[in-house]
Amino acid sequence: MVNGPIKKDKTSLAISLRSSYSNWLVHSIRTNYADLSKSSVLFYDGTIKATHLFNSKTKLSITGYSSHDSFRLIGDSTYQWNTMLGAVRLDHQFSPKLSSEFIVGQSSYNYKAINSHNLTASILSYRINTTTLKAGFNYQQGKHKINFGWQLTYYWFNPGQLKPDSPESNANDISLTKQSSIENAYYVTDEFALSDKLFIETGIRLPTFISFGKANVNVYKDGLPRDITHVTDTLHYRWGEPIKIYFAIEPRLSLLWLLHSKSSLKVGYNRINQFLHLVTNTTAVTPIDIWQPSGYYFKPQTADQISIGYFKDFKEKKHGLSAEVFYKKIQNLIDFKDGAQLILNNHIETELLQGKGFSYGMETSFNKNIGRLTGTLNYTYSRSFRLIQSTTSGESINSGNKYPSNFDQPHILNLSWKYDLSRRCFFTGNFTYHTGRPVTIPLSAFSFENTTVAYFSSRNQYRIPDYHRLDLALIVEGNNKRKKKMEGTWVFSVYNVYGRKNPYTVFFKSSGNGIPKPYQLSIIGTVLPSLSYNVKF
Amino acid sequence: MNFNAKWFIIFILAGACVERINFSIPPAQFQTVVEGMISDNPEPYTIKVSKSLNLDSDLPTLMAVEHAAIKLFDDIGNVESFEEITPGEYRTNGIIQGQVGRSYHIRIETNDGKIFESEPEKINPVGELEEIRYEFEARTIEKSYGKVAANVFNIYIDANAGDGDENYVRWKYKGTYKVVTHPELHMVVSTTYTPYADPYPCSGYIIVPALGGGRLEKIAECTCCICWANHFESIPHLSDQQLISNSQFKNVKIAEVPITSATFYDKYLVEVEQMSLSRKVFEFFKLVRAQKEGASSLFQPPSGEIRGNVHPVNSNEPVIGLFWATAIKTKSLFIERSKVPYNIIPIEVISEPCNTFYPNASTTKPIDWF
Repeated sequence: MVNGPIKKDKTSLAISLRSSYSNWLVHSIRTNYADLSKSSVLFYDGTIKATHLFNSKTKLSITGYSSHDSFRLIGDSTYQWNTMLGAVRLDHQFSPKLSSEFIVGQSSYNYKAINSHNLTASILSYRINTTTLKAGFNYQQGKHKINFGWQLTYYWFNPGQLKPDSPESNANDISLTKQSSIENAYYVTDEFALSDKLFIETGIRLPTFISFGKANVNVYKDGLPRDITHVTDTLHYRWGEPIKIYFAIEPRLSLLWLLHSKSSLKVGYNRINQFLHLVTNTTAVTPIDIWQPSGYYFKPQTADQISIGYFKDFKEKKHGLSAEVFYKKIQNLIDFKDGAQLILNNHIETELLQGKGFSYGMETSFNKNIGRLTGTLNYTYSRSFRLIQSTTSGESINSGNKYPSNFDQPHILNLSWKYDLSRRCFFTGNFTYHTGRPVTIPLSAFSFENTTVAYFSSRNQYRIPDYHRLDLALIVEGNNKRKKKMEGTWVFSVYNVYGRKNPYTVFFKSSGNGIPKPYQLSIIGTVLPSLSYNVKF
Repeated sequence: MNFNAKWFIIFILAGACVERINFSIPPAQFQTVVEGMISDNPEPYTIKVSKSLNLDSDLPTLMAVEHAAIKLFDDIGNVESFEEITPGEYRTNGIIQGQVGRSYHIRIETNDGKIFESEPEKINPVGELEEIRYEFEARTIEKSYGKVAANVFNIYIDANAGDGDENYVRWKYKGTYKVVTHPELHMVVSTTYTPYADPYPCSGYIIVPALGGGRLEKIAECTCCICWANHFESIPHLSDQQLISNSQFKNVKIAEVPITSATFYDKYLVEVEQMSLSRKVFEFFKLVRAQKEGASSLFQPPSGEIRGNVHPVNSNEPVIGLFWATAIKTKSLFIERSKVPYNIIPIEVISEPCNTFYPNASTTKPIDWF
């Protein structure tokens, strides 16, 4: 990382780059399932930020970020994720009461699966590009802090493309229809104090989402399952022609009541619309996410959440305690049908269903801020369920009964601490635990028409093994002299102290007799000690 | 300017692994499996009843459910009992014949008193299987020693699914080819003895004493030298992946016939059945298809519970099964050896009985083979 002024008090530049050494780490992977010694893992990212002060009231920032993740675990397939972000931001203070920010941003995220096998060489790719314009204002008048503004986001999706990647490749050239949409939103929030003990933050956001062409949209028969065989008509939309427009109102209200100087109660409500739906298939060697924008077939997801929290400090803020309960109700969430074909499907609407969801839970936190031993303990109990039912055959999930969502992890515990052995020597640690996420697994197999078929459980009725890990570190700082040219720190750390093989992914692999069996892939399934020396000058 | 340099001295015992997960799941033997169908073809109908297999079974050998009482019902009050012909396999005697428009269901009572019933299944009209045709496609595949030819004939059909809103169709494929082997040439090879001739009894040859160590002599006709082997579809072909117009399916690819010295020793018989399905049965086959396709894909589609339409009546015992009703239209064609656009090498000389060497092979000549 390099950080410093180009022109003193006017222009500065910060550049940081990171990369990993994990490529040779993965070569030591042991497995009976596949030869992972030929695998590779690569990660790097970089950030650049330039800032220029025109005067005391106007500042310009230009930020760029790029990241690349790549791994090849099995066979000839390489998986890559790339992210690029760029933004220009202008901050300006119009008056002591009114300040503003203006942002122009561009982002691009893409995912690639590269098959380098000679005769089937191909590149499967997805991409989401966004362009954002934002104007935000902060206005302070008396006890009121008012934020208001406007944001416009243009989304462009490539939902899947397969290209042959060698002259001899037999791979098909497939390109799904690109999708475009715009989200436009106005917002205003006001923070003010009703009294010395009661604070209110209230606001409203008014988003509009427009999905537009160019597109061909199939119309399916009402009352029948959405199948290609039930198409009655195809609507043709020209470029820029709106296909579907959604308006929404998103109110929010938060009350903070100071019970006395050391404790407070917070009550909140908010509604959020999500116009991009995330569909994840988690039972694969390489879990992938599919983003499905709202449009002709799918309504926006709407979530209403209420929460009540209690916060208390003890002994002159030496200790802090907080507890917050929440309940969230979701409408129009998306999930996939059993056996859905999610990859390169030009009729993805035939594989997805919309329904309801709800989640609830309690988050607690305790921290000790002062003394030789400091640290934080966080514990969350929460549940998350889905309910997708229909009177039409084949349009329900789990026979129309509720089931745990992919994110249902009831117990999450994080403990971190720092113990001062001396003025320059610290012992730190971190323990994390969370319940394994739900998964649908094969329970048995049966023979049908001379082939072996697996009998899977109902949706998400089992769980992958729990995740827990302990990391410890001993930190020794250099001398504490004020005038020194260089500052060095030794860090001896042990990652995954007891060598827990936590699952990274769970997938099913058919054995020779056609019966699929569950496997887990653990990335760092053993103790990982390291010694590092940080130099700062 | 701040400069932060970081370097590592790492002693790695790093490792990651892929390994089996053992979930705590109920024993597989509790699940009863039912497989059967009725069609509009005039034939006895068969039901198989078995127990599901444990995931760790090395060989998918079925545990048959024997001595069950099974009855077939139609929607106008007729009832016919099935008879057990082999352990776990039951067959009607042809009293009830499937008819388009009629509904049928079965009732199974096992010898421990458990009762299972299927949902009524109606035989829907099937439309017409209009044409089967084939096209040659040159292909190569890569082996460890280089590229080799893997040419195929692609099999296409044109079909009409008939009138009505919900026309769910399955196309079932079967390929048949004639093969020959030479079981009379069988030799016993051992490290202890000099290899010696040991013809299979079904070859019709024996070894008779002769000067120099015996000779082959034919004493009967060979009963395991000529076989007809079958290719079956590995994945059900369903109509949902086709865009249709007025219930008309065009150029639906049904199968690939591998061109080898065995498959075209003589000629190749292609048979396709077009079968009407209810929505429920269609969903069952769709899940089977997704699972079979997913088994070979890194992007495994999310599998789901395949239950079918058979339910327990007097217990909570889980049951997996399908009793389905279908109307069938069949078409077949021969692909002659002369249609292969190059000379095929002679069939390999195999010194084993043909019905054990070739998969799905039988010495019985198919009725349609001429």
